[in-house]
Amino acid sequence: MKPPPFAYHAPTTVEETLGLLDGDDVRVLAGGQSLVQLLKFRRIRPTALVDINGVAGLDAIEENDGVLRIGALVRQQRLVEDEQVARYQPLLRESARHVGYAETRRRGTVGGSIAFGAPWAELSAAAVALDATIEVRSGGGDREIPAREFFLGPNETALARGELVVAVRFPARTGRSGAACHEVSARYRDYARVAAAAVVDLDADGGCRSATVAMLRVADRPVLLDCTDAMRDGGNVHGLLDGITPPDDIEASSAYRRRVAPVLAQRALRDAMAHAQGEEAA
Amino acid sequence: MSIEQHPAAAEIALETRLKEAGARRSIGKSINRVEDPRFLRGEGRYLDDIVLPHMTHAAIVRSPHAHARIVSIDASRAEALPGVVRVVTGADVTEHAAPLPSFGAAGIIQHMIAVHKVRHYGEAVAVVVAEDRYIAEDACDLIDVVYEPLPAVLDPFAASDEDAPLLHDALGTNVAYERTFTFGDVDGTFARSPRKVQARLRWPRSTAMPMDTNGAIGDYDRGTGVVTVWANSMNFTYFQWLLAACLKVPTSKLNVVPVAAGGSFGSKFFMHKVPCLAGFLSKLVGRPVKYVEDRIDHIVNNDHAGSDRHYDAELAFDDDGTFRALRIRVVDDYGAYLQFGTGTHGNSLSQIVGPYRIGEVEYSLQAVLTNKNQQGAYRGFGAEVSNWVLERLVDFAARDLGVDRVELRRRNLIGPDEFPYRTPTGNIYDSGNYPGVVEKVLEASDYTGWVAERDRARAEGRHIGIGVVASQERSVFSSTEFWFWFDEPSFTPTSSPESASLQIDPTGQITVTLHSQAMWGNSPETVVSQVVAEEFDVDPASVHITYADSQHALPGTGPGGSRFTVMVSGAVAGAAGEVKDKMRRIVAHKLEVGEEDLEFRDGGVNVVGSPDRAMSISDIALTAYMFHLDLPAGMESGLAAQSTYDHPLTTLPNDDRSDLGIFYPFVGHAWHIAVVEVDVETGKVKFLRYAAVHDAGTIVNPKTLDGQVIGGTVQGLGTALYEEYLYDDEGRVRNETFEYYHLPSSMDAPSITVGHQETPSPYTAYGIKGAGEGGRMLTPAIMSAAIEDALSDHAVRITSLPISAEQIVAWAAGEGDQPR
Amino acid sequence: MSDTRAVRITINGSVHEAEVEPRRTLADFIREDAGLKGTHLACEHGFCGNCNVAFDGDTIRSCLMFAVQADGHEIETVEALCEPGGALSELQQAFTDHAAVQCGYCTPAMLLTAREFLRDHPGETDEETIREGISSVVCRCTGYQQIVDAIRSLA
Repeated sequence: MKPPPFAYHAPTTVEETLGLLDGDDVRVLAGGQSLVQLLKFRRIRPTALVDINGVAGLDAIEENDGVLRIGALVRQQRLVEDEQVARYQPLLRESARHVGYAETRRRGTVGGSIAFGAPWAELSAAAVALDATIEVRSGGGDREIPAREFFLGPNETALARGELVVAVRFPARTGRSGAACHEVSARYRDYARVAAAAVVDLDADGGCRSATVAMLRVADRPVLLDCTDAMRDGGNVHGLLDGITPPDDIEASSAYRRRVAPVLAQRALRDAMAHAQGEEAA
Repeated sequence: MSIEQHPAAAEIALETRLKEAGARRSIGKSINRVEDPRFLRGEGRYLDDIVLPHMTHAAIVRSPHAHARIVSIDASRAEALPGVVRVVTGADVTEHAAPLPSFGAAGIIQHMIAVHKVRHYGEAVAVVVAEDRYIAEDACDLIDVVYEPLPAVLDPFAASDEDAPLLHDALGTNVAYERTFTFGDVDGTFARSPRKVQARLRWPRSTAMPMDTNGAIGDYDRGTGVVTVWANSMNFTYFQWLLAACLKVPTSKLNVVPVAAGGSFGSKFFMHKVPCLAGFLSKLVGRPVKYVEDRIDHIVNNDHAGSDRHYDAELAFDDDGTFRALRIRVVDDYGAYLQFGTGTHGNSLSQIVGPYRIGEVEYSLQAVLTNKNQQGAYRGFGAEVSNWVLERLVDFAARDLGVDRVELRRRNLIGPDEFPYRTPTGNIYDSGNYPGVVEKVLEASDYTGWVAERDRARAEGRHIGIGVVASQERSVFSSTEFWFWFDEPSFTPTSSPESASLQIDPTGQITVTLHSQAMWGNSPETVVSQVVAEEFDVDPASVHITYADSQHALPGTGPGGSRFTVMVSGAVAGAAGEVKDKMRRIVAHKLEVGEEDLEFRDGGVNVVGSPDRAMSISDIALTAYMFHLDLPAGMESGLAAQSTYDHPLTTLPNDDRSDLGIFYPFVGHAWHIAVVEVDVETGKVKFLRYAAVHDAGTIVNPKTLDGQVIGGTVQGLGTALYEEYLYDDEGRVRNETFEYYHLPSSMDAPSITVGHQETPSPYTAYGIKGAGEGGRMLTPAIMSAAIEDALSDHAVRITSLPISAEQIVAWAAGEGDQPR
Repeated sequence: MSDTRAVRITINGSVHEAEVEPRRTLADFIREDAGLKGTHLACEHGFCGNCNVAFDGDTIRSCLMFAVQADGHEIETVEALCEPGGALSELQQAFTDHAAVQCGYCTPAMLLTAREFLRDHPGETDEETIREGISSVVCRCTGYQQIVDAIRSLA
């Protein structure tokens, strides 16, 4: 199962990278954990790979003014281990924990996961739940795309040809906040068949100020649920998922996803709430 | 019942029985495996590790259709690619080779590369030989094949219709075999029995899926005309001439060299296509050719899918729970070819009544061909399926009667005083103490404690379930099970031997040569070392083991049907016995004592009671090789022997097949208990407890036996919950990679308490029975029972596998049918 | 289209140099160019972990990396665990003491993954945690238990 031939470039700057991305059928190689699989299966045959692992300036994690900015080349494993991530946005740690295994997280990148837009990508759910902003650069200029408008379908994003994700900005949590991720998969750490990423913010009295869940695999893109009202009902989100028609595919039926989605959302909200209440007061 | 055992085998069995079990020196000890060091160092030398000078690499073009005529193949673009040596198609096969060997019906012909049409998704349509595998795969992309798709048959019921598209025109039908075997008065017994349970059951196709795929290197020597094939399998050394026939080389000019394999579980059993292909390609290109299946090749083009069966089964019983009769109707979806005939059902029939005293059995079999890759061997080889069916019926009977599932089983167990026990089919169970195993497993699992815990948890709304199942573990098949299906079979072999050579060199080093497949995860070298240590009282680690290639091999069948430990032990014991006889004669002559006064102890031979009157093994050996004039008159120089150990106990079927004879007589017994908790909202299953007790006769190495039990159990778990070939409407395999074919991981596997009981076989060397398949025989039945028990508030009947999370959620929501 | 590149990759302390196509995987470089056969290919698409090697000290899937990406980096394979023909390491010894090897195909990956687990979780005896630590490597033979026992014995 060998990949087809491709030309290979290893730029060291973003500018150089953008110049290379202008070609026909060029793919960015970051972590490679998804891309190389496709190459092995010969499902894609790019003319060139642009290896951005040596590009400087894309792997910082910085917190400024309530914004946690994660560089595109930050490895998923860093989200699990980084102290700033744990402090400022625990949902990132919780969702990253569910992404594959340590071996794959050490290579897989935040930018790569976002750009690849796999329907089971927990980081997509986190980005949507947290209303993240995706920083994109191209030869024609820079732009920012809200995560909630970024994912358009399975492996389909708003990224245009020639564009490169350079960072993702997440709001840092304010006050007491908790996060949790629940999913079901065939076996431990297989692709999620349904996933729920929940974030709960408490107000000064310890009551629920806001509760948000982003769900995967219940539609053709991540679904955002405002669960603040539902928290008064113990996180019962059944009404919120009424309109969805989850896909039927090799992994699960629509019926299964319809049944399981509210369960996972409720459990994620419950755990996020418990996590928030267990936190020290800000 | 008088049972005539093979004389040489009887002698070995008697001699080893005479030695007290407690006096054993090495057999029964959990020594570290002698194979381990090289594998721990990464020096296992698997097939893909072998590099030959000027070696080329092959890759196959896989058919995208399940059923299609091959209209044309244009390889011109591929041939023009630099680094491509040759493109080979079915046309080359028909011109230069013969069909692959098969024990199936005439008219069902399989070639290494599809000829004229493809019969399953993934079948090889062309093969590229190139300087490396990267180029070979590039060239595969450049081969233009024009197909005329044909309607595919994917369902054995549709396939057996008169108007169904035919897999093999020459056969004239897709029903490869159809027959009903009746043992006893089945109809009458059913009519007279006050109760019965009936079920339609479905066991779908999965596969053994070892981590190391099938691979071979062919190397044709034009000078001598010898085709040498290194392969990670070599079974039935005495059938290698079938591979030579396929390659159209004289049978003496094929040499198959066995290579260590990273697992098999049956899927490398009598591997033919891959070694023949490698040999064939090397003949065509005049250079060594390596073909190693990649994972997709293996999933879609292997010749060893597991059983794929549809059952309609019934059990008749009395009001007091006594089982009376069993009626089984099975339609088996064999796939596109039939290499083993219906041998997988011989495995079922060998233990069709399980450990129970059921007097009448009817077995109706319809074997159907469909557009899928063919069935072969997978740990259990068909018996694990019928065991699942039987245990399901027993659980349903318990529910029908409202009695405890353990009690109902106990009531029907064959008693310890009933052995050898003749089952209705004619096969016997050699020995057993089934109640002993039950007691042990109930204790090992704290069964009563868990019953109480389950009931308490139920009151809290949790879904805990307990499953308790039993299984026989037949071992050491006879060849008759491949042909007793027919009244007038064309070929009726009765041989299934194993051989060993034992040589002591002039310095006293012991070397044992085995004559079939090298190791593939079993522990042949450890078994041999322990038997030699037992016989000669030497350090097991001092024994050297080698493997003969087929040109030098004595008859050997190889691992399969849990036979290897039993047969290799018998062969080594036989060879050791001959060498020991010679050694005794030498020592008796040199020390001027009676042979009967000598014993083997501490690496030498001494007079019993006088340890100083001794000769070391190296002294004896040196004498044997160098000092002919010191040997007894008429004795030849040297110190070696070879032994071919035939199946100890095989008898022929009778003419009308109302008695199939004895064909699988060394039968172990096992019980498993599982406690699970089911999350009914997501369908996920968690283990709270798992205990397994196995009785496989005398244990050679308890530590390695545990590994077989646990490994087999976890494979069975895959079958029970995760694994299944998924097809689309046109017969394409939808899960041809590990993305969607799921193997149990360490987080899915339970922690298992393994217990043992040893009820020796009266017929084998040391009383050993085979145990390698055991665990897998039980897990599907136990998961069905435990999950059903966990969902007892929903009155679920589990009759198909795998038991998916989706199904569980549907049942918990009150729906009877699987939504998908 | 397929230019080759020179790479220098340190494996088990020795430098290996070759001219390789960019698409040549690290696994194939290790096995073919460096001739170290202890790293095994079972699926070649990143799902089974049998190809795990240590890359700059941490295990990764060698089938999902290209050799050109490993240029200038340090790889450790199973061959690093003991001297050729030398005594087994404590971890390897624990594996054989607990019958954690059957066919041996996943064993190199299991050893490297176990070694890392012991490094990152010294003294860990909880079975579930150990199981999670090796959950990324598929073993089809052992059912995992004896591997877990071997690792726990070294806690």
